[in-house]
Amino acid sequence: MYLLLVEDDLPLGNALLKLLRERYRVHWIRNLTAASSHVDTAEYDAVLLDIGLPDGDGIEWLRSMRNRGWQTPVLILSARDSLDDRIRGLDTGADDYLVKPFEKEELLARIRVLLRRMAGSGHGVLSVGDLHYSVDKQQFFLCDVPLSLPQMESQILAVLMQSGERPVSRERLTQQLYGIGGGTDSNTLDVHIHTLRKHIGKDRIQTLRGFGYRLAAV
Amino acid sequence: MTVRLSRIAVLLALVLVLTAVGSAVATYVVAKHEFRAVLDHDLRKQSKLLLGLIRKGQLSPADPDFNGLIEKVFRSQDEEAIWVNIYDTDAEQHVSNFANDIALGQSDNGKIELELDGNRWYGYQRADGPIVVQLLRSDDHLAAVQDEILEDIQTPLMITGGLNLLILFALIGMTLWPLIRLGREIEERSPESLAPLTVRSPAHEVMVFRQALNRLMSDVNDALGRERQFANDAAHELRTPLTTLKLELSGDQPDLGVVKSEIDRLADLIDQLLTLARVDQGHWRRNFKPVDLEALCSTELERLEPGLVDCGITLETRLGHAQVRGDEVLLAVLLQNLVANVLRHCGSGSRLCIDLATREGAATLRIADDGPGIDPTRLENLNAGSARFDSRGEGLGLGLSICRKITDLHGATLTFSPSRDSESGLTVEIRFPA
Repeated sequence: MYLLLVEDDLPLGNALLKLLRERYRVHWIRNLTAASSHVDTAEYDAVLLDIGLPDGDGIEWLRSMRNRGWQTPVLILSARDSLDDRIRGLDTGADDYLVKPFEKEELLARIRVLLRRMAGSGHGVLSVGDLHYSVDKQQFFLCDVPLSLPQMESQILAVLMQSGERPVSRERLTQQLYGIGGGTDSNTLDVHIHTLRKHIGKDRIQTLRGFGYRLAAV
Repeated sequence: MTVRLSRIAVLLALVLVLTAVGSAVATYVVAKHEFRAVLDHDLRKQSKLLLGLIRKGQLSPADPDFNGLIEKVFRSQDEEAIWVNIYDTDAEQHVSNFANDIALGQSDNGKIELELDGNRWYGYQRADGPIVVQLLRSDDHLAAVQDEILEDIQTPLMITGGLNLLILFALIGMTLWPLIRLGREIEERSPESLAPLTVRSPAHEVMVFRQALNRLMSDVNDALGRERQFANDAAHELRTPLTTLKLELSGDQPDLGVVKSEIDRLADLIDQLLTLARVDQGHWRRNFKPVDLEALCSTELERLEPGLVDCGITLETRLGHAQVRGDEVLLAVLLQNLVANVLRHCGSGSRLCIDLATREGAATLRIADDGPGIDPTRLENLNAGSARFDSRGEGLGLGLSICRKITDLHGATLTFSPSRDSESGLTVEIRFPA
């Protein structure tokens, strides 16, 4: 899962990065200008957005992005706790609103809800044939037997599972592994796909030449 | 003791009505009495004249033309007719211009009252020897004359009284009722709802009053809005480091360096909030006295310079003579905050230039750096006073609120602009009143 964290406070950004990196791939930026260019160039699974940013109001930025048709789930992290602020945030297009200071467990739970909703699975389990993925536990099951995957392969499979049987581009998978601008060595992705096929079976990942990969129910 | 103006108005209306009615009644009574007296006097004189003429033999009741004469002189048909009775007690003769056979009662001089054909007549009787002359006027005539008098008196009284009442009602309508409605509208207002008052009145004074109230409410609304914004911002400032602390301390390996610096940040924020609260207390202006700004800047900068040197910032000063009326402690806090801002935003190798001079009679303090500066939109917000404070990253922190409050207190202006001699950088100018 690939998250974008928009937070200008250095200590808080570092603390969030430390917490989220244990579970997700996270990109941290500190202003809205950078946020705009990042969401244009990469496909994030969710965005954590502070609203009091040095170059503008996060809610106004979100409004303009939603007007452009941008759909990525957004969780607002804000110290503004008034009812008006929360309603304004949610009405503008945020999927959730968390008031600072929050407990880390609550933040993680809300991110899981966003990701489940993004995957279209209310109960938190994504399935392609007899391959299942528990979003909350970040655990894969093949024929109900838990799979033990290396970290990179686990992240690739999570992205593929999020898309169901729909194709996923190589760029998207590379971003998941290395973030924006990194991991241009596409051979590395092939190596991880190869390893993944060994764990779940060759036929479950189909190669789409010139585009990427897709999962197939077997 | 409070008095209801509406009750005074009702009282005034009552007094006006009573005055009009009382004046009419009193005038009528007095006029009636006076008119009676005039008529009585007239009858008395005419009866004396008639009696004199008879006694001197110039007129004789026994004369066959006498009746025709008195009928012609005193008339007998219209309502202004005077009823004449002449008795000769010796000849037992009774002559009158109205046919009657009323016998003579008393034969002395004085007022008399008789009845003829159901009408009352009032008059005067004069006797000399056997001759008694009675002259009387009809009660109807008196009543008609009195009615005319009453009408003549009442008409102007009723018109002026009515006009007075109209003016009174207009006054009440234009002032008292709008005031009562204003009171009701104000009762509906609260700190959460300070919408302008809408009462309308043709009275200029009421509209001026309403405008003044609306202006006051608008100012209060703005002040409350600023206070709410400030409370929100203060909460924002305190919650951010608290979130960092929570996250750090809930992990397996909290970074104690971060924990310590965030606690220091919280302590600093609380200090700044306390400074702001003290600036807000409002007793400062009473203790304002002349301050030598040059000496104050010199002393403060001497104290602040080591911190700047540690951060690799070069300090240049051009301190000219400048004197202002103010509070030394607050002015020192102002300078400290502006220098702290430079420390926060300018990296090693930056230059800080502090320039103090008296320009056009006004003390002007300029703090210019060649640091990263502020983007134009934010600069505009800062100058408009609408920028939120923000102690993180690029923000100016609570220091901005403190600086603005201190400059406001001194009647000075605080403006932000890009530094002149560098592409980036920020110049803060404080201009004290001349």
